[in-house]
Amino acid sequence: MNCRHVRALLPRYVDGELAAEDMARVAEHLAGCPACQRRLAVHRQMPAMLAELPQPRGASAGEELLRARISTALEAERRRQARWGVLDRWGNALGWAAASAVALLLVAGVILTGRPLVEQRFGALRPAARTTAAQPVATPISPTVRYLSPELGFSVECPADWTARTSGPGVEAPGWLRLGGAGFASDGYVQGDQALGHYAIQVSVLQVPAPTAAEAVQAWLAILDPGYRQAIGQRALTLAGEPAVELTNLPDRTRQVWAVHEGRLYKLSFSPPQASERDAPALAAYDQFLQSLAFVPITQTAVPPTGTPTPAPTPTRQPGQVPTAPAPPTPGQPEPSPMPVVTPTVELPPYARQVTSLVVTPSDPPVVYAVVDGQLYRSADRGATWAGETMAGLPASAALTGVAVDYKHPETTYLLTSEGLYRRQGTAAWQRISDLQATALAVDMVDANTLWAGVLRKEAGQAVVLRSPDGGRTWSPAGPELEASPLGSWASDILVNPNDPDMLWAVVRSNRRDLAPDGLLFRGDRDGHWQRLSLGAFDPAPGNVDSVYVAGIAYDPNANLLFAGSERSNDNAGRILVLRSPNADAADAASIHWEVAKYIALPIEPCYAPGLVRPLAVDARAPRSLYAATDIVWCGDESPLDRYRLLASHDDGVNWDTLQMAGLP
Amino acid sequence: MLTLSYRSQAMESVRCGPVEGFALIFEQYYAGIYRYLCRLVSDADLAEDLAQQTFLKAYRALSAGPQPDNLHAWLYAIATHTAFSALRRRRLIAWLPLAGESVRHASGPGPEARLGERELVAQALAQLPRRDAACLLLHFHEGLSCAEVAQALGLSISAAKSRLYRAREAFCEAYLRLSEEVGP
Repeated sequence: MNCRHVRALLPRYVDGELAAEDMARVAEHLAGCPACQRRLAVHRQMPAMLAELPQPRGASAGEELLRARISTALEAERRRQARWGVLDRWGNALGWAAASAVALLLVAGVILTGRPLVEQRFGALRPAARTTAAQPVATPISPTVRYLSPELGFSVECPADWTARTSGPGVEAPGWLRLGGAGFASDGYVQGDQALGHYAIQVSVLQVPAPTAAEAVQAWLAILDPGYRQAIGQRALTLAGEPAVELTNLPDRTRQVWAVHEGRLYKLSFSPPQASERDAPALAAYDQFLQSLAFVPITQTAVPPTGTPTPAPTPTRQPGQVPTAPAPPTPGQPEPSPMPVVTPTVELPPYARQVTSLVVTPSDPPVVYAVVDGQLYRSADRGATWAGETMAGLPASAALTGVAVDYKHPETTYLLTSEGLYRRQGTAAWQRISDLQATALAVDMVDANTLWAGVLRKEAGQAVVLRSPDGGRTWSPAGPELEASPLGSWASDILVNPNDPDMLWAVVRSNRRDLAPDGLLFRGDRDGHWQRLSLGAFDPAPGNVDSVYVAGIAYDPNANLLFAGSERSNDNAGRILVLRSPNADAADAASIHWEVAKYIALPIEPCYAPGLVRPLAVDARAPRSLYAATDIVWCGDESPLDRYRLLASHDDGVNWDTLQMAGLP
Repeated sequence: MLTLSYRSQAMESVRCGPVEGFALIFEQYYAGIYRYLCRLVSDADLAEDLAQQTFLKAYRALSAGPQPDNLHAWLYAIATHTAFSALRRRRLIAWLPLAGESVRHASGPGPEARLGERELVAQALAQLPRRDAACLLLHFHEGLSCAEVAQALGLSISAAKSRLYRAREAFCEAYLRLSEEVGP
């Protein structure tokens, strides 16, 4: 038996799993072979060696903080599931309150300071104007403060709370931070870093050091968290000398540097300095890092296909700038009711999961109904102010999931509730017409007694769209055929094309994305025949950063534009956008094409909480208004900043204003 | 053994569908899962993200799906799969730990260039294919049985045993090679 044979048998020899004869032969070889004896010693020590592995850098310091961070994220997930009514075995009894309390105790405080880290290189920060005065009415949006670094032309904007609450227990960072500067669009905010909520933070404006400067490489690079940036490649890029913002966590933690280069935002992470003898490889690693940065484009404009009428490109708005006023009404048409006052703050990370439904009646002026947090609200001024709507006729236990209107008979309104389907005429009391727990509802444009409803699939093979021929009393399956038949799929949206009442669109969601495709768009007819519509380049696929899991649809019959929103996924890494199709009604479904109307959110920071933009309804009068709800709940941070937003666009989804939402929860 | 009592307690909570079900599971496993991920990916920050993903996935799965037979191995399976996925995604900019670089750049056998024994072990482990490293960590560090390692890695028990033997041999090889490079 030679060394090669023995080495292959040593693990079994150590375990005593060889036959007696082989044990003896291996022992015999070992007795005369020092090399194999060394190997035997390693094998025998291996359990102890591996059991005593050192912790990677920073691990021991991070364990408790991580515990709080995951607790918070799990609590956010529990709330998310509760909102959606996902079957939640644990939800009612989770003990996260205790964990969250620990999280609060662990918040070391927030130190927001312009104190330079290295005096000779970093510019000082000084407070600039507050933006509070521009907000006419109290809104959930906090006032902000901008800090400027004059010599670098770079700014940091953050909630004003940060200046008041400089440090101390119980301080929670709001989880967003806006960076500004030349070539830096106002919507380029850093947000959602859970670390912001749980570590002491120091914000400094600095310049990215030159990779060859010895003092600049005191910190070697640990990692650029790439897990959520799939459009990564080797990039020849030098950021040396450019302005950046540094977020410093606890002293022994990785530092993050956010830098802007040619309109793109880069995130760099550094580990603490190393011993001097390691400077050479540190230099090499740092240099390599600068050449291999992930990037996130900050400004995006829609690129419509050639020959399609195009909207004006997205103007770059500066912080504090009031959004463009809506277009004047067309001559000859009645003066529309005043547009809602919008806040000057643009596209804060919003949330919309609480806004499950919104409809605009065809009456003039229109009435806007919204279901928010399970309650019905009504707005007579296009979403500026809201009031709770009567629940007369509904059982107290009813939780609302949606509202629908019969567009041919706008006095007829439907309510989708946990206790069944309700209808009312005018302002009369709600009357129960079915025990159907619907997730979406549409009224036929030809026969008002024909209704389509979306439902949650509770049995294998069950249809997620049902049809009723008798005003909602009885229901029968109406498709669509799904590729897989897991439980947990549901139709979240059903639209009837007002220009062609024989055409419907529907969105099918899945709460088990690992088992069933999610966010599928279907087109069907009144006979229940459906086909899935491709989103072309936006079809979800691993590696496709523009993957769109359709989170909602809305149709503008005048412009013939079908809008589709998207939800965060591992594929798109949080690149949340609004698509529109100018020919979603084309006879040949294969010819339907899609274009980006707007990137609502970009994958700036990894976070596992959901984010979406959900087109809800179109008010087709002039000025046309597309309503959408958006949300990004950042890792359990449920500060008012991060709840939800109702947005309105008057230019086919390119620019969006945040509705004031006065009167909404 | 402490681990066993933890496991049985957590499994009991799963069976009961109880008050504080998942909170209990989380409390009992987060430290172990995090440490395992730290060693598997050699990066504390990445491990934090992966640990969070692991528990979110577990929570969603337990909320909506059937209960696993072996919660312990099941959680490590999620963690391992999550780590492998992340490592695949980051392969373009992955590099060896800097400590590994310093071994090659170390000039001469001076005592300051010598790596500590534990660092040597960590580096030897870092040089293995990740599946082999996962095998060793799960078995020797996390105390999973061969059957549990098989479940965590999606292998048959016999395949897991074979891989474990191979991984042990590969680790031994790497460890001895590093020892010789560093010198006495």
